[in-house]
Amino acid sequence: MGLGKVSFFPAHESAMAEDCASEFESVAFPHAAGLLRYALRLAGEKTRAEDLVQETLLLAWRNFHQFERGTNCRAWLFRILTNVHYKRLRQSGQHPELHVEEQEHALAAPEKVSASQEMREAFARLTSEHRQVLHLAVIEGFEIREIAELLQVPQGTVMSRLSRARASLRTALQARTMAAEGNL
Amino acid sequence: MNCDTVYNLLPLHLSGELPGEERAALELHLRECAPCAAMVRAESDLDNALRTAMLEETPDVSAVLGCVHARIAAPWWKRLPRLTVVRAASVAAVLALAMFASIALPRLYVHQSERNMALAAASDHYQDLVLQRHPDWERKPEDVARFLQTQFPQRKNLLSSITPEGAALEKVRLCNLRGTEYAHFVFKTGDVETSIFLLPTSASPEAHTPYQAAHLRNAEYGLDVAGFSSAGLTGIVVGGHDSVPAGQIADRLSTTL
Ligand SMILES: [Zn+2]
Ligand SMILES: [Zn+2]
Repeated sequence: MGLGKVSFFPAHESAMAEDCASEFESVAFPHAAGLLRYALRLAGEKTRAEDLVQETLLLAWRNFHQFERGTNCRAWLFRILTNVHYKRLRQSGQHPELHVEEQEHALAAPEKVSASQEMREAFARLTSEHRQVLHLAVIEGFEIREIAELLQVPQGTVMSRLSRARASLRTALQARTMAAEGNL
Repeated sequence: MNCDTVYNLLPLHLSGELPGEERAALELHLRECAPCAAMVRAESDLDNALRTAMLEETPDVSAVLGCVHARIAAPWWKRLPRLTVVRAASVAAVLALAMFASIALPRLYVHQSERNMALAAASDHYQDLVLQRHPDWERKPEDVARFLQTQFPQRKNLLSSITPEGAALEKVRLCNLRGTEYAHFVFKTGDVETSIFLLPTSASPEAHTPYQAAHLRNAEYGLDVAGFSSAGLTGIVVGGHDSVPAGQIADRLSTTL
């Protein structure tokens, strides 16, 4: 069979026309703020977090033809972001499962701070594993089943991790309050 | 329901995932047990306070969205490669060069449907081997043999005739390319992975549209994609542009299969 040899252009240049780009934007862009919040949680730093979200959205765009319309786009995007993040960690030689208390934030000078400020400080003192699971469950409102799929761990693990994370958050809040009272 | 069960089910209760019966039982317990009721209320207050505190600070996404929009909505000749691109070990992306090298070549020779299939195959290869989205591959020889027996019942020695020179089968599964199931074989030569997608014998006749133009390049992933049709089989070969002679493999398969 005679087989011609032809190179072709970047795939979605014609396979995905402009209207497809705007469809993608209307489906995916509304989740960008949530993605960035989660990326900030994972990467810890603004430039890296923004880069992570950009990589995620471009990867999602390239694979948009495989996304089943009507299924949960947000979970799909968060899954891509999580994968990209762990892939980067592996490439940079950091071990993703190393969850030491890496951010032992010094307690802020106990001046008058709002309850929300107090909460954010307490949250910042949790381990990254606990922050991640609380972030997905409480802040982003993912179901436990979805988090299990996202993190590739059994549902039971997500549940016990969540319970422990809530307990640590409470302890951190109490420590914060006690430090404040002690300095009055 | 007792207090321990309530404690264990608490995460599911707080995320609203408890099925009706269990939720009713839990609520009944909460009406009768003050300590549990207080605990559930405290946890849910904690969640609300955390949510409020974190959502007070909304990050500004306009910069990121601006960049992404510029890259996906602009005409291709204005699209610039990203400055930072994460590369996966098994796919050496040849972004900019391949993109510009292909400008002068006549694109009309490639049918739209073949481009779409090529894109689908390239992207499936990328997702399977880089993002590793599927855990359910057949890897053991006996499982692979059973898979072949089911999908290609009349084909003896199929595996040895499709295995590229010097490569060994790593795994196989059924993958869906634009609504059609293909057997996705992954071969390995050292670190280099080659995908061969084959239409199962039972596929509908329409799926067997023979490929006219065999050799396509997907610059986005740095992959070469080559379709082939022999007397009895239709398929697609995908591999890294620098590392896998996809076109040669496809040419050989179109005559030997
Ligand atoms: Zn009780
Ligand atoms: Zn596949």
